[in-house]
Amino acid sequence: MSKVQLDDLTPNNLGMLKRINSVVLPTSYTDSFYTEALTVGQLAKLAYYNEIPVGAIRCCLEVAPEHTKPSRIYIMTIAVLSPYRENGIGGMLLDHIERYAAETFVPELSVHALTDDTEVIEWYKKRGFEIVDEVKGYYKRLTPAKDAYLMVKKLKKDQ
Amino acid sequence: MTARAPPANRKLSNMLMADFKQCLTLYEKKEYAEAIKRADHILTQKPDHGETLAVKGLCRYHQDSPVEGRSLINAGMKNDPESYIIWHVLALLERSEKNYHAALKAYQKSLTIDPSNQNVLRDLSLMQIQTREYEPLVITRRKQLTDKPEIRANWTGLAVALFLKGDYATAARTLAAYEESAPEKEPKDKTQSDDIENCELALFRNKCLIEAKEYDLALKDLEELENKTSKRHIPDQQSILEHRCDIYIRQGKTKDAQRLTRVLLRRNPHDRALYRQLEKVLGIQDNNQLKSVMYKKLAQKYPRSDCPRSMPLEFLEGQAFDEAADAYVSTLIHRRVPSAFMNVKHLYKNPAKALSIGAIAQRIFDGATEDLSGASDFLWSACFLAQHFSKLGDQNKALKFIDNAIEHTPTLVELHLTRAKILKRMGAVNKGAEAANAARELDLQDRYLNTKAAKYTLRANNADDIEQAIKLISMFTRNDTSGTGVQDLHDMQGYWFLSELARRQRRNGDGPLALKRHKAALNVFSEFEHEQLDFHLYALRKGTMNAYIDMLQWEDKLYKSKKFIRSTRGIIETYIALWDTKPDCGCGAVIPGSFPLKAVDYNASTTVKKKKKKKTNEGSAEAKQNPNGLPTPEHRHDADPEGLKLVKNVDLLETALVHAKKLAEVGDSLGLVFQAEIYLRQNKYMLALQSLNKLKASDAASPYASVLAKVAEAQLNGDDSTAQNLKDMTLKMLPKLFNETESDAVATARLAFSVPSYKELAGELLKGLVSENATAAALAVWAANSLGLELEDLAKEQYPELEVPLPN
Repeated sequence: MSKVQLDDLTPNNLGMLKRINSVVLPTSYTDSFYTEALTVGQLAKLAYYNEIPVGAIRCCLEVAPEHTKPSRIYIMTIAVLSPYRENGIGGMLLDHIERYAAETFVPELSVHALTDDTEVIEWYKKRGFEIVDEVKGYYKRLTPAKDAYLMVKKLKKDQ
Repeated sequence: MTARAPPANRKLSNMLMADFKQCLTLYEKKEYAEAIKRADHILTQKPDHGETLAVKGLCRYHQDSPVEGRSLINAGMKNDPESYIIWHVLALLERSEKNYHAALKAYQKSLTIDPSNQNVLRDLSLMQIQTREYEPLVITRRKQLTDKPEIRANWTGLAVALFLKGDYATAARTLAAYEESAPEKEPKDKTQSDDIENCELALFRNKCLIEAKEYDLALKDLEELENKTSKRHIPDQQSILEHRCDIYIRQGKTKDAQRLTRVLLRRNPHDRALYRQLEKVLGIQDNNQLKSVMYKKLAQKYPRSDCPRSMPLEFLEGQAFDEAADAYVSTLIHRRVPSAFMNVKHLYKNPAKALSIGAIAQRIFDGATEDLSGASDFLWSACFLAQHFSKLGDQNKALKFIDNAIEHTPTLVELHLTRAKILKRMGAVNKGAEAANAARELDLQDRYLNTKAAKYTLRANNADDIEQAIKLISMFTRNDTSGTGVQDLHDMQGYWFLSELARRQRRNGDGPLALKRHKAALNVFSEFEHEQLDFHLYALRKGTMNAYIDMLQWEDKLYKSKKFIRSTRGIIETYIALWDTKPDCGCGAVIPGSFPLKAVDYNASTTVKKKKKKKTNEGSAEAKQNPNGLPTPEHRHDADPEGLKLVKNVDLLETALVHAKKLAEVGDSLGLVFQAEIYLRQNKYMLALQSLNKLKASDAASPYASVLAKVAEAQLNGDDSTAQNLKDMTLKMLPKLFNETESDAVATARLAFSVPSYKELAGELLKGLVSENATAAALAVWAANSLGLELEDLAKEQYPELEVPLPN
């Protein structure tokens, strides 16, 4: 059995998501970001290594204007504690979302990445994401505000 | 003795007699209002009918009018002192009041008038067990058996009584006689519960035979029991084996005892007592080398058991210890066992072993990489080392290890709990509470974490700690009666919470409320005692004598519990301090002055507040707050939310004395010291001296007690100046008396507060406390503040992180 396992987000382990995001990510998130994370079902997951939570993903569905069905899954946060990186834990979290997208017929995934964070951009590219747009000053809460790429991965229809 | 003719006023007309009978039936159905109606009807025609008065009294008692109830029964007794009904009624009242000795006497009196009453006979036997009057119990039970030999419970009842009295042989004979006379059920009619009952009975008889030293008979019985039914049908194989083994040990048949101990070990290789037993029957307790071989073999045989690996660490020394400890500790760390340190903590009494264990963890720590492959070793060895250094007193080093680990993996709850403990030991109680809460927030469904967070919060120094802690515990309790879980924790006998709350209230200077909580904590124990009553009959009916006797033996030790002693000390200390704070105490005390307590308004009327509360209770959720902003937990039934009834119109010293006597009774030597302190305050020097002499005789006399004795002597001789000098001496000694550091500070501050000439001395004593440990230092600083002394700088030198309690 793999030492890494994914588990659902619940009100009781929400503190883990908060803790992981707060130590890994440069921006901080509001309380509503976390309380709403409990309503997205399979779009939020914790990754456990030896029964310790070490990574987490939290996404949301985007419905394009004048559409009724969701057009893409947007990855709001994905984080893995630094000692546990480069062991496929982030990939597992992403795979889970991709699988979910395929099952629910959502055609694409999207994410924002810091323009100067080449490591992260490469990570997404390796997994089939492409840069489709550059948003100036996207990270308003950082001082100084930083730019972001919008990256998208189109999922194959027959998957 | 022939029955005397009933007094003229007892006789009722046939009509009224029918009413009286109905009245009794209604009482038994608990329809008290209806019963009282009948009684009143009789009383309008025969106002001095004693039995009616008594029954009415009992009904009134159960309608929450205990005072009226008792006076009605007394009136009835006066009119008709020879009625067995009235004595029976009185017995029921005393029993409900939990005055078991008084109830016993009343039952006895009722029985001398009407010797054939089976109910009274049965209830008398219950009181005799409850009060542990085993000799008369045997007589009662024998009478029950003679009257109704067809009931099985009467036979076992007599046997249990004989067993408790220590007459094991007769107990065994009684049970044998029953088995001979009782018809055995056909196998096809037997149910499983019959099997269990028969086995229980047989095992009980076996226990009697063993205690009576009838070993051969006992063995024969066990054999029969095993042969009687196929093995599958013997419900309690384990006990049969244990009995057999016990017999072999008592007989000195070591070979058989060894064999059976090994059989038992195979059944449960996790029972430490069995390993010790094996050492003993092998005769190698004192031979470390042989013991070591034995444990090595057993460790191979039972690879999943902790015992054969950890137990040798207690006796091994030197290199042998190092090797065994290495194997044991490194396995625990590699396996990520959260309790690893707890498993070896007891070995730290030996400094060499402590160092050796630390070195093992250090080696794992040094060898672990911080990446994924080494993460687990790194975390758990760091956590272990943090606990190791904390235990050795190096809190700074401990904190470094734990902070390092938390930075690596902030989602491991054990790390945060360890951090909380280290911070507490540094005196940083507020930060400690924060750390415990951080652990809790990571896993909200873990009750242990919730409990820890609440406890650390109660020990912190923020103004709203009590509210916060109650909010925390209420996440895991039933809150339907009052919105918070305090009531539920009373109902669930949550001793830890009640006692922590009491200590916090005491620290807050709220004497009455502290008393109330301490009382609630003690109540847990008296409930244990009173609830026995339900089992005296039940166990006989169900035929579970073995568990029942275990329970009685456990109850006999109940009040010797450390927890009971701690709470009782707390009550006595608070009562004495309250007395010392009273403006009119006259300060005839040996130790004038008091620990900071808020002034209590002894004239405050509780009824006004109650009215106000009733009004607010009907309102919104805010109603659950009393004027202090604290939740009033038991507001639904609580007639005394602030504990004022415990101090108003109460003789503080006499009440303290009752508790001090109980404390002495259970063997705590402080009980006698407290008694002396109380007597000296009451100017009863002779009694003080007697208490202290008793202490001397018990071989536990402290220097403090001998000085107290001299004070009493000097007072008796009218030698005031000597007495005064001696009082000065007691001041120096008192802090050394208490083993709990909190009490040290409490006592020191109590004796020094408000006595200007003692300030300097008190300062010296408090300085001594600072060097004890962080908790003591925090309290010493706090006590010093209330004396207008400055100790904070000195304390901060030793404990830079020290957080000092807020002044009241």
